Amino acid sequence: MIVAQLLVILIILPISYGPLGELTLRHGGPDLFLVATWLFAWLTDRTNALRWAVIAGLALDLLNFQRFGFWTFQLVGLAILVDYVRGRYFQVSSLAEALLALLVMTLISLLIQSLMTQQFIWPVWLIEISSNVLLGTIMYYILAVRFRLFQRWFGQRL
Amino acid sequence: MRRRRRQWGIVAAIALIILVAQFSFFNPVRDVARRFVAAPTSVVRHLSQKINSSFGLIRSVNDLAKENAELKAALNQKEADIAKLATVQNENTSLRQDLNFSQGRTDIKLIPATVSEFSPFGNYQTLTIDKGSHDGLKENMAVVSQGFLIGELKNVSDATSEVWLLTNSGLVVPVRLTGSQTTGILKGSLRGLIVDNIPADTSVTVGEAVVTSDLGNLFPAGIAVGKVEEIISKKEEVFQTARISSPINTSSLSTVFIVRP
Repeated sequence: MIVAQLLVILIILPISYGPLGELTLRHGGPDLFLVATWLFAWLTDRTNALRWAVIAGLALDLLNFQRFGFWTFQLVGLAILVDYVRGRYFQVSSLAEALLALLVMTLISLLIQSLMTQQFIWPVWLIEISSNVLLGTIMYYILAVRFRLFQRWFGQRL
Repeated sequence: MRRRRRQWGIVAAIALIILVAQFSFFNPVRDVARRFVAAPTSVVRHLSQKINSSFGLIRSVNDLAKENAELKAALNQKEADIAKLATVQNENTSLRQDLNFSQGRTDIKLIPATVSEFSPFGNYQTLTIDKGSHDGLKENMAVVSQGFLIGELKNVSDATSEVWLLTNSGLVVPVRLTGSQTTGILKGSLRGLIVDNIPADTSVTVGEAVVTSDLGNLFPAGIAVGKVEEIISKKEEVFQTARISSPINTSSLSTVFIVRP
């Protein structure tokens, strides 16, 4: 799994900081790191989710100009939160509940970023929330329905 | 037991990295990471631009399918050439404008820098350039493109720097409206770029140019920012607020210039 996670980060980084960054500057767009954190936390286990959160968080900390650790703590915190609510309050196999978790994650992340930057750009919030949910739905469908990952990992049928 | 100890070891190592990274001697590591990612980012950006233009080409091919095959091929080739020429021309015009701006201002020195990354987080409105304190850059220097102010250097590392764009609401720039010769404060907002704190008794005209002011000695005076698009404040307000438009599309920048006074 660690190789897969490293491959994902190698793919996500140039896309996020290149064309997606240009798009985000103009209109806003999906947060690939957050969606990936949600996917690893929702579809795999705690170890994989935390490992991903640390890898992605450290990569973001290296690339951005915020205080080092900001992104790592944020992604690790969100991964722990999703892992906690997933088993207790949400049904893993429910798409609606999975997307609700992603929505909450996105809101928390945007709130933290807005508090840090003192910027509350509502159109950016709206676009990021909707694009994250759309991307999450597509990824969930591909990974969970097409590849039947749930059946493999949890024995649950969608 | 051994596994638990290993896990705690990893946690301790990560905590140590985060702690060490708080000090400035860690900056070169972050610079290397930014430069390392800049290369594949640039490749992906070019690739996405090519895909975009290819879609345009495919669309035009569909239209021309009604014509004969020879004409279609020739036209496609011509369109590709025109697209290529247009890109070069745009780049040329942009650089010429930068050059004119540089020649017209002997009081300032322009340092060219390449845009390496765009922040993927909408709340930040920043971009990263490939120059830093080793190239003589300092925080709060103005950043221009084609002679227009686009932002300010906020975080300067050894070999890379972060530019806060004018659309970043954390950035406040004193400006002067050239027609009415009045000053105001420029900031980014939900409504785009706005200038507020314009005295109510000032007559502001739509279309008048907005330039930087030397108020507070932040930036050299007279750098173009844009022009007044509309007055958005109500008549009963103490100060007027104007919406400004800038001709620069920051999301497609590849080169910028840092203004060194």
